[in-house]
Amino acid sequence: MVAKGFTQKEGVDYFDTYSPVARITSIRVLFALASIYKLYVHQMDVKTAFLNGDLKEEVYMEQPEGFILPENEEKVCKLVKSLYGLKQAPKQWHEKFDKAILLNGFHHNGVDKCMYSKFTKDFGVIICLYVDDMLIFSTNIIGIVETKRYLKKHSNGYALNQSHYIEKMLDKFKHLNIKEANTPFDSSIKLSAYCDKAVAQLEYDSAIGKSYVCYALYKTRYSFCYMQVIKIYK
Amino acid sequence: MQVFSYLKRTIDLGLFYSDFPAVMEGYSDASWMTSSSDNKSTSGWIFSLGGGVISWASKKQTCISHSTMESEFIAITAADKEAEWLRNMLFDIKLWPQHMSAISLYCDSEATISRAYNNIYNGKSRHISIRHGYIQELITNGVITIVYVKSVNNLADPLTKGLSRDMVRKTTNGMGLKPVIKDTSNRNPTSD
Repeated sequence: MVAKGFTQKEGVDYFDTYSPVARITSIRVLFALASIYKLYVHQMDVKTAFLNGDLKEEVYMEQPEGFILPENEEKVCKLVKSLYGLKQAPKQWHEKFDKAILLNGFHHNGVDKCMYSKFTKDFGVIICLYVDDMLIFSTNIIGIVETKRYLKKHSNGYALNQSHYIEKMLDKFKHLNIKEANTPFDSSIKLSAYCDKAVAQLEYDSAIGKSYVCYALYKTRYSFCYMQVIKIYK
Repeated sequence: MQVFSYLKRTIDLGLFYSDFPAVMEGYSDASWMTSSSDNKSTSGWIFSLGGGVISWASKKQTCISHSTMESEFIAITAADKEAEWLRNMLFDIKLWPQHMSAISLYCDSEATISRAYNNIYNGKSRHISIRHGYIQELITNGVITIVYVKSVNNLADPLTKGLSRDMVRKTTNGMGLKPVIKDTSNRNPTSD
């Protein structure tokens, strides 16, 4: 069930909608630290996370189809907890999580508010929150081994890779007959501004623009970051 | 669509972190006047920890530089901002030794390094004076040290220009992008 968030009015039904997420750099730093200090890594996904948030605003909703109380057809529901689809749902969820975790003795990281850490005499735990996904790094938790298959672990390090994502992307553009290449950019080509009418501009945009390649390079590939800069000249 | 071709060829590569080296290193590079239409340069920087890259960027510079040294200088400033951020983050993680040594930032231009360590002001460097002051402050506070590295060993090189095959391979390896052994049991390419 999803609430019709698009009918909400700012200032009446909701005020702030933002919800911070961890910076991808922080996640990579944590993985690097995990391999240096041999930390245990645990991934958790919070099921129906947004339903946990409490609503501060007064939001009313029509009775959902099929669940209308007989003889009370005229009445509306007042929401107490947030629902998926509400504009403030991500924010309320984050606020609730934030409060709960701070009560548990965790502290914010000074530069990334989505990183929480707690250090006691016996153990240290770092939590990295990405909306409803959590990465938990810990110095000693036994029995976490089972969940470690989420991450491929080799010898004494961790590896992040996106081959599945690239495969899917290549499949989408397979009509272009892509051959394998060793370099991401042909150094012999001299770039110049392309003034003619663009051919298949939309397709090109969708491939090079934010959606596909940039995602790949942003997450694990640095080697063709340069392409991003020159994309307007292609 | 050479990017796709490259991705297809290197589909197995993944970032690989190990327990060595346990210090953070940064590389910065710039290529002067890469943009033929507006004479601007490209700067690139990269930070690695535990043998793998953790943060990188490649950006067209916003201010026009008059020489290679100046464009490298602008690139170093950009890298320094990230260095400061990373340092603050690590500082809040209690695992890290509290007396953190300065982050070494590798740069392939000796002129830039001597410029950064030289606090004599002359009228020629006025347009980069804010950046100069910023770098000087970070050096005095022990946040960074700038170290010379040969251009061929500069890992930030591919972020500023297209490279030959061997160089790409070398820098890729240096940044911890290594073939990951596929775990076929977990992957199903046909499913969406």
